[in-house]
Amino acid sequence: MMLVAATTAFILYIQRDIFVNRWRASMEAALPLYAGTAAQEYAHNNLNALNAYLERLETTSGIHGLFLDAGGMTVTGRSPHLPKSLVDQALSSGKPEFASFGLNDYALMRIAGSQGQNYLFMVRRQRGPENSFLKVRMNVLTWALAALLVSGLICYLLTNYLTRPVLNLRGAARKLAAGDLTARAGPAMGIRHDEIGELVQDFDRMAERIEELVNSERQLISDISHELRSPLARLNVALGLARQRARAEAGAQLDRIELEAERLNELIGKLLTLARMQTASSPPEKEPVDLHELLSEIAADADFEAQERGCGVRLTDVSGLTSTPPSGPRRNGLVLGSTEILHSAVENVVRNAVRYTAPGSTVEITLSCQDGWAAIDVRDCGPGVPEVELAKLFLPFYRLAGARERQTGGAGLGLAIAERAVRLHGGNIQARNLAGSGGLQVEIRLPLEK
Amino acid sequence: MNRVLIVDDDVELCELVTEYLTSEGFQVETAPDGPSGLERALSGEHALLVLDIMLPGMNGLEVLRKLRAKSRLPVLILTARGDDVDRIVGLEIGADDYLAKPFNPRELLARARAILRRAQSPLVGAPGSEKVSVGDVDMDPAARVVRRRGEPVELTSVEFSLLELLLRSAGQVITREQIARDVLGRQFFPYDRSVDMHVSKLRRKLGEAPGGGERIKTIRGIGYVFARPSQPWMPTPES
Repeated sequence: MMLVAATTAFILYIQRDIFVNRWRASMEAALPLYAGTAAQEYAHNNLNALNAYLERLETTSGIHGLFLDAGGMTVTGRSPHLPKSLVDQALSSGKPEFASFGLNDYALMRIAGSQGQNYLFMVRRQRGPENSFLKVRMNVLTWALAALLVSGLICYLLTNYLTRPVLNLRGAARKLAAGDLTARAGPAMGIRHDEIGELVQDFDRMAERIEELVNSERQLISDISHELRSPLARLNVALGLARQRARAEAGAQLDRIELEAERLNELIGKLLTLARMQTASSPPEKEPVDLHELLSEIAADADFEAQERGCGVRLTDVSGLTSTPPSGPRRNGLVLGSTEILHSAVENVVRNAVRYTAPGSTVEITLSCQDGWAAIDVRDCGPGVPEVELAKLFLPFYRLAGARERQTGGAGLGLAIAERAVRLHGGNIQARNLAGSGGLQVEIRLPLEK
Repeated sequence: MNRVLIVDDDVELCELVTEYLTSEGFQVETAPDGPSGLERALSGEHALLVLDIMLPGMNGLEVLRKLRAKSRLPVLILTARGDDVDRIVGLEIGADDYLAKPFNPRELLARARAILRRAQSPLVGAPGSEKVSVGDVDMDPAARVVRRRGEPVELTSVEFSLLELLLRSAGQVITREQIARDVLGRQFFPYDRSVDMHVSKLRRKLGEAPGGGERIKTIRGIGYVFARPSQPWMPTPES
């Protein structure tokens, strides 16, 4: 478009000069001829012959010629109002002289008459196409503008036609990647029978397939877990019966059976929780979560549990966060999401800490606020985790090398659940070894909504 | 009376639980589905109903709802572990306590015993105990009636006992362990939500205190307290 405009302007501008120069070149050659012939015709003051010649010149060659005397006037006494400078120049040089003024180009040449007196032969040319340059220029500009607009419109429509479906496809792909398995590109686009249309169709088919696969897998995990519960429930009661009948010596073995049954149970519970969170891209609920209350509850419960080993759990809140602001100045940030899911997450982390902390020690939970983020810190006084394994801690079923043998180990799902839950809420979770005192620190950060 | 009705579609489980509870001194009857379970429950021959929420067909919640419309029979619901919706709704509709499957039969025993004990005699207060009033709430344990601003309030037996405990100790903080022991008649287990559930149900039924705010306050990390109002409430002539 730019190119068209530029070219038009350029052409319009130089057009004038091209024409003129060409004419002048031809006049250089032709003028002496015309002048000479005119002088001959006018020999013996034959005005009629001269006029006849000039007329012939006009009709056949389109040349406006004028025969002038040395004063610049026609032989009939009319004046073409030539500038004196041009006349003098022609008289002195004896060669064709050129000038342009007004709307005309002039060529003038001295020619000797039959009796030797000086005459001037003039050819005048009206600027043809570019004469109406001024008038036409407006016209051309309008046309150029119109051309610009039309081509602009066409460009825009073409671009839209091509890029809009691509953008649409990108949007759908991104939604799919973020976890929305129902995202499709087709509906927003309408029916197209070209390659892009087919691409969109293929994309939608792929998305459908992915949704199917993921859902059926999720369903499978859920079904398996539910199915596993029935035999487990029966097993538990049978175990109770066994205890009723058993002699004292069998007590330890029965305890062991009970322990394993309980582990199975916990594993199932966690698998279900994990499956539920797997395909979600954002928390199912978006209500304000009272972190203080959540943590207090968890701390109290965990403390209860920890007392069996002589340990304790303590909560410190320096955040100033609250979802139901009482009277008084309190920070007004909240975490939006699912209380239940966050409860799961933090509970898993805290219970882990309680499991690994040294007997007699206290697990510290700290809630704080750091520019737009709520931070939950859980510290234990346990053995910590080898540096190389810190990153892998949050993988499902990941257990530390020595942990499988120990009674304290869980199935390795708790932290995976915590990680997924935290991520679901747009936050992040990290584990660090505490320098000096030893032990592990798990930090959960959740974004605060203003 | 120690007849227990168990409604669960898992027949083998029913057999095992029957055996277990029988050797602990109970008389057990079982029903494998909702309709027959409901029918038996309404017979009035039992002291306790153990109901599986996950019944196929007419599901457990429906059975419970229909039962509660006509009977105050104590109910212990069996829920799926990790499925909080059922548990919460179940307690809302009027279950007295819940237990997640798979469960430890000892826990089942403890809760069943607690519910039966409570049904036979009120745990809180002496028999024929006097009325108690705090603010705009009146309670007459002998008549089993509770009024708020003169209007009667419908409470389940657990909620009733809970409210009685709170009113009699108004102004004092009661721990969840205490509530479990005195109201539910059993030990408080960690991560046990039933006390919280009952408290929140009670709160909702009583509504806000006259001056705004909660009647039953949560003291974080410790327990609950029924707040004594700052001004005495006077019944207005038209109420």
